[in-house]
Amino acid sequence: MPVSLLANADMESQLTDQSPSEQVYEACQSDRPEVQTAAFEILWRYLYRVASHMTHSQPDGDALAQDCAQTALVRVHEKLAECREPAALRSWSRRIVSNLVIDRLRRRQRLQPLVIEAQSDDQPARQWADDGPLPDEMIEQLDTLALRQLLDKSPMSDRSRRVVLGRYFDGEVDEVLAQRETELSEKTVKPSHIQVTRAKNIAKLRDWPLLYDFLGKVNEA
Amino acid sequence: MSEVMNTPTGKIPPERLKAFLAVLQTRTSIDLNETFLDRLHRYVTLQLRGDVYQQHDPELAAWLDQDPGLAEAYALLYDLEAAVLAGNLSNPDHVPDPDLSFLTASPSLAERLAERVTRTGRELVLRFSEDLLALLRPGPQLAAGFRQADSGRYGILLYTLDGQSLGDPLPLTFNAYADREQPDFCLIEIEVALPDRSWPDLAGVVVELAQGDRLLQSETDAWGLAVFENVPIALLPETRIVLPLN
Repeated sequence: MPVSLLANADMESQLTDQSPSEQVYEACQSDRPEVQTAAFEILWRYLYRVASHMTHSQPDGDALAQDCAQTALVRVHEKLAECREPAALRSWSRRIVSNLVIDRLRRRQRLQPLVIEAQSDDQPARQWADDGPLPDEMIEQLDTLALRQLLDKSPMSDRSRRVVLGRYFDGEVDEVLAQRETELSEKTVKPSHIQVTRAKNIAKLRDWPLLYDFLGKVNEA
Repeated sequence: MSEVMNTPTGKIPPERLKAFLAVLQTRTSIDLNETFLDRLHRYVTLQLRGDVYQQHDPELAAWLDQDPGLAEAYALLYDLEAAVLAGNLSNPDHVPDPDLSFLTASPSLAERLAERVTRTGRELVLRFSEDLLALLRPGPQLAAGFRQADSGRYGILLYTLDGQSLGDPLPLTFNAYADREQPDFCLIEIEVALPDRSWPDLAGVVVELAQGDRLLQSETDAWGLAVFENVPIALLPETRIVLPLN
């Protein structure tokens, strides 16, 4: 018989925002409405903090956080039995609300892939997909010094260039790249910043005509 | 102050060059469904643990470079989990009140069962659903022991229905126990209580458990107990139990 983590008397007053997840989990299933309400209020405040952390930079961040936290709270209630470990209640519910925020931001087109406009009517954006990969022997013979020199002239900032080439040419992980950029800029740069910067700039390179022409000449050689 | 990169003269390893060209050639837009988000969560967890996360999931690492929207979603998760680890989660000045009306708005178990149970002269069919399962979660005071010897493996009760205690009784008791050795599966016990049969004549009743195309059958023992092992928990909302009534 599992021992209740909550004393029968005065359960409600034992619950605080610092109560262990197992205790909150048990209270969420209590037959006593006041205990169950107290438990879900604790979860609400936690879910709102999580959602708010993710949405604070959005113009309607507070409203979005409230909306996502409310939806998540109902979902936690409905799916509580799927939380296999009561001790993991907060991390499990955090996943629910963070997934909701990401989904909401994607739907609102706040996390859009970068759309590259054509350079001009004479130079439409290049499409690489149909060209197929360069054969291995072409890659072996590619003039990498010329490639590096070309990329020095690419439409990327110095940091963006370091981040893209550091990963692919020098095999460095984002933690190392972030540390380097932090030292260079004297401001904290996180690995997550490095990843986003790299993705956006690879999208720019994808449509850079000079790179396309360079690799096209390699393929024709 | 930005620095101009000195152009190294070293040759780029072919496999890195190939990876660079591959990511340049591929424009990806990933569908961020729940399964994929779980994968993203795992990636972030490994990264924050200091594991070689890009080697654990090189496919995802490549996608993150190919899809800026995916990279931004990853960044949100990374920043969140890093803040949780560091104890720096946002503490808003004002937290609005929640709407907790859902705690009292649920239909009663009897109302829900009335929708989900059908009886003919020959059989009773109980069709589960997410809503019904939500009402079958055990309270904390319920015993978690499993009837058989291996109570360690099946010590956690996931769902329970005592059909005999209802205002409109059902001739069964249903219990689902988590399987500690297989977290995605459960063991189901169905105890049959037919009015015209009693111990030891409760044996031999064939109980069916259907989940989509999958049909399982189990015969009751002398106590009227039918057991189903290795039942996927994720499919419980689609489960149907068929019990002969004579």
